[in-house]
Amino acid sequence: MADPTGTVSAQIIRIFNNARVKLPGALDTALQQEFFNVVDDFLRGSSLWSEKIGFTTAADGVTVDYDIAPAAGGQITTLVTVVNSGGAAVSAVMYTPGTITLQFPDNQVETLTATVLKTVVDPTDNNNFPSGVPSWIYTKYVTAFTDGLVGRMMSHVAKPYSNLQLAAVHLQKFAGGIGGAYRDYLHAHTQGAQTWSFPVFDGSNLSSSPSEFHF
Amino acid sequence: MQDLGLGGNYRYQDTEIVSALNDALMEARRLRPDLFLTSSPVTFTPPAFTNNDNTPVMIDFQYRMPIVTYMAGMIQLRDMEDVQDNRATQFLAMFKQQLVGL
Repeated sequence: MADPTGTVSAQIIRIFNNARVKLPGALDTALQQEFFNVVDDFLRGSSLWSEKIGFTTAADGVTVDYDIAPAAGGQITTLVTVVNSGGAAVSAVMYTPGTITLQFPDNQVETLTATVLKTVVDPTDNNNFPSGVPSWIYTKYVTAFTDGLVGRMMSHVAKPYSNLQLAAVHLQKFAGGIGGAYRDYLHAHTQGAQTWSFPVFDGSNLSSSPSEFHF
Repeated sequence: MQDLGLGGNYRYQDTEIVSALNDALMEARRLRPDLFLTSSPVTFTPPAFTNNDNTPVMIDFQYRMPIVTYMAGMIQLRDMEDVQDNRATQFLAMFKQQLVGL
């Protein structure tokens, strides 16, 4: 595996080594290509990668659309919530990923905070791995990522490692891993936690990261 | 498979072997495009060679033998008294098996 900057995480190395021993004849470049898709599937299904992005309203009584961009890498897929500086919910939607549409324009300057879910996006890092994904996600779900990578590789046509039966097994386990991760998201990685709370926190009954969950 | 002819030349010329290498790479590209997957920018283009020089042939070490096997098969397809077509065909079949089979 290329490592020109020495920044390939131990978690990714473990995932790749797990996959290599199950995939005779597989090339690292092909593994990297599929790994991007695996991480994309995982993040879209689990909702685990989030970011809070602040933006300031125009205060002209007209503007309702505001473009936002993640500062910590990735691409925005879903809007979770928008709150004002006081923590109160602001009604908003996101018809186009990256553009927040408020239900009502503001008449005063206000800093709003959007919590969004993200997934991977090109370009990749110097080692051809997805950029910005928090390492704790790889660490906690290493077996799910391995199953996803092995399953996708085994579903290739006419390769030494092609195996549709085992591909189905691994992809089923990968789907289970995504489901478990989504459950962790809903319950904020907390045993016995419920998926809602009152009073609501952050303008939503769903938390976007473990640290946001309040009882 | 190389031996010397009456004039002291090798039986198979470098140009023929280089041509067989190019054929091997094109056929490998058809069967295993991932062998030629590169990043930044992403391409699937197999290299082509014109001379027997020091230019490296960038093929993953796991798949160098199939390339050599194909080259031997293609060269021996030529009508020569020292080989039989059957042997050449076996080399070419072996090449495919090594690329797509276990």
